[in-house]
Amino acid sequence: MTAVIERPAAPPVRAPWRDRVRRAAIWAALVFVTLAVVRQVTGANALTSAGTVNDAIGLAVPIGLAALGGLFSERAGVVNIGLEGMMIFGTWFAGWAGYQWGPWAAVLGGIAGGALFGLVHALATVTFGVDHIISGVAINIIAVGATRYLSSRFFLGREDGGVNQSPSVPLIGRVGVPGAGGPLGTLEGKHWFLVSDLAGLLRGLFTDVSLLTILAVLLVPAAFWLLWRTGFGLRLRSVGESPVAAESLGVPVYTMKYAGVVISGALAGLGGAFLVTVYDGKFLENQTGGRGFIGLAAMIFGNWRPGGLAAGSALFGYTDSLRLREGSAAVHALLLFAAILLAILAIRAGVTRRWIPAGALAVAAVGFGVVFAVTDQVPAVLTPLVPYAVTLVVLALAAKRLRMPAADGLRYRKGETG
Amino acid sequence: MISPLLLRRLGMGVLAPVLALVMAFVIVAIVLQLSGFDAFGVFGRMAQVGFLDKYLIRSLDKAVPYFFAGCAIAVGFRMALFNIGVEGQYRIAALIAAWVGAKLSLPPVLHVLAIVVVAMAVGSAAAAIPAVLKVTRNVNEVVSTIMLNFILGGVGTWLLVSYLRNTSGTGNNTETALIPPSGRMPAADSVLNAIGFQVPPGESVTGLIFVAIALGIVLWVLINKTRFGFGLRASGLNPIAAQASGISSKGMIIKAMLLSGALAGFVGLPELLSNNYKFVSDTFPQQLGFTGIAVALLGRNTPLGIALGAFLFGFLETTTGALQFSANPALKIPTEMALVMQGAILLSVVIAYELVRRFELLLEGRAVAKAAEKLPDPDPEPAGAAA
Repeated sequence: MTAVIERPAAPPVRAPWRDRVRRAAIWAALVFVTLAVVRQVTGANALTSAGTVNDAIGLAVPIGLAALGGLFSERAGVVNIGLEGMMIFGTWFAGWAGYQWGPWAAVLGGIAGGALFGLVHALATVTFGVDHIISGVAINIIAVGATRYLSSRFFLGREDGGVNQSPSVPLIGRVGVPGAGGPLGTLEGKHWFLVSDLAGLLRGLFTDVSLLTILAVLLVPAAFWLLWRTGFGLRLRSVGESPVAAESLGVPVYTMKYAGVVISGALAGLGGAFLVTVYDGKFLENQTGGRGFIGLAAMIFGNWRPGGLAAGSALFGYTDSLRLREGSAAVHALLLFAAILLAILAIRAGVTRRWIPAGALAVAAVGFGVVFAVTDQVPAVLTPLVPYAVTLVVLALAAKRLRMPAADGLRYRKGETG
Repeated sequence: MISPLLLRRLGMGVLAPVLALVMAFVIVAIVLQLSGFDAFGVFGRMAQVGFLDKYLIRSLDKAVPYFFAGCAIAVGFRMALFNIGVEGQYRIAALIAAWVGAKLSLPPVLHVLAIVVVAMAVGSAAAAIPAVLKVTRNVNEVVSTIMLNFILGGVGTWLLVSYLRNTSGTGNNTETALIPPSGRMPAADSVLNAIGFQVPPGESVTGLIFVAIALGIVLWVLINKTRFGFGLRASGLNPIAAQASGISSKGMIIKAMLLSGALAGFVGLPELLSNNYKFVSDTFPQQLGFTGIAVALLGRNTPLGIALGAFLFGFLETTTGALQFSANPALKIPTEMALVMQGAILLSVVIAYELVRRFELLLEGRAVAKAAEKLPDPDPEPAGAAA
């Protein structure tokens, strides 16, 4: 008789991601309620209006796509500051394909253009062992010159085309839940605390949304699934953490790095195509406006994780949308929002007896409150700096909680031991 | 006699940039040919035009800010620090220096000196932010300087629009007031003419070119002949060994970044002291910080190399500019081609250096193997043992 090995009953482990989702939901609710309070107090109704929400999503998508691009590359261990350049190529190729064959061709063109220069970055960094930062800088420089050059070659002389723009590209269609707009709009107009805010949020989310936006939002969970739930994702991440160990287990390190960087370029290019087919209806010079870099910032803000970078992109898109729609008054109300949120964080830190962060957060909260009280608007030129400033502060204060892939940015040669 | 080893190293030193330029030109030639231009005609014309006095002088003038930018980047590179923030640092430094320069009234030499000092101080101060973040919070300087480029740019615009703008002048241009003549740099033309150049009328070279030469020499001495330079290079090559021999890596990071920022302060000065005498928001030269990266790499982080690289970049810009006026459509390439060429050179440079480095390792390995063969066998097998 064979001995039956009794396995000890596994303790009931709750999946860590469930915890994370729960915590994210609590935070989202908290942020939303705080926003509703601030709206009620300041009367800045734009804070939670459907228009702001709708625009915020649209503005967050290209940032988020660039951030997702950064995620794939850096998870494979290749730092990609060429995201901006790849996004620029995405806008150009989207414009080029789009004016000839329509918006969905523009999307494919953008993806292909970004992926092509992702391939260049992979060739330089993986095959030739070039410093990742330098290769990225080179791609950004080339992108500016090359697209202008290509425009003067292919767009100049066509209808509406020129050295700094392409002929018009038709916009991608927009959809919404039928019949939802009317009643929600009425409810929103009442400006009741929380109820109208929720109506504004729902109306912004479910009416007049571009098809490409829906697709792009779905890419976030898709990226999570691909990177954390499939063998491909495990191999790709292992290459970013320890290429030596990965190679010893038979993972094709170079192939995985190539895959990560090319996908990265494709996503950044898709972000570029989004600008062409959802916003401007053509390729424009400087259309990206540094969104590739903001995407990089969002990725770092999000701690190299899909959920985090989505939150970062949403935050940056939201501030941008407020600025564009309502100008400095609505952004001014955000100061109060920041003060309240920081105060909550301070209390949380105080409850867990972490006195130094609690003190720092409290001081910051009071600071924001004072600035809110003594000023009546935020200079318009300073608002676009929010993403960069927030990222810098997060980096400076939460550096210990951020964890980038262990072998990110390091050169790896096949056969070398670590 | 020159030892063969030295000769080989010298050859490798030259081989890499040459290989890089050949690669870059092949890439650009393919791009040009594919888009319907006559690549060889274009290159021929560029070489032909480029050595005319007019364009040579222009290239020289253009090279000066590139040289400063290259030096600023190179100081960081020497200790493996990547100061991408040169871009933001030089712009904010130039803005503040322009404003101060217009406010001051000082005798001629002192006035220029004051502007230079302000530019250096502001550049240093801006570079101190990523340096402090790195040593106290371990924040990667690449990421922090990218963020700071945008932040400093925005803050600069805000300062200009709200406080530093010239309100007494014409219209609502966003620019600072003019720097008075006492704060301007005399042109280098008469000196250049005296030493055999011929500066054509209508062209001018900034007097800062002599400052650049002096700075290059000082920098060479500082990096190669002083204790500070040794610490810098040692920290760059092997931070742990440097730390073990008593060089404070944190101190070196701070010092190197401050020096880099101070050099970045020079980048905008040709525009302020020799060309426009004011900071104009829309037309002030941009992207020089990034060009500096390419120039520093091309010049292998040595002042002489950077000077050559800076001149090459100036040359590319003026000659592609000259081709604009070509009557032959097969030669009339867009000026943006200069940017494409610069980017292609940057990428080829790093690839070429890597290839040459691998080649060098291979040669070294062979040399070692050869030397080992000549050595007497340390453990000869006893005769007949195998039988």
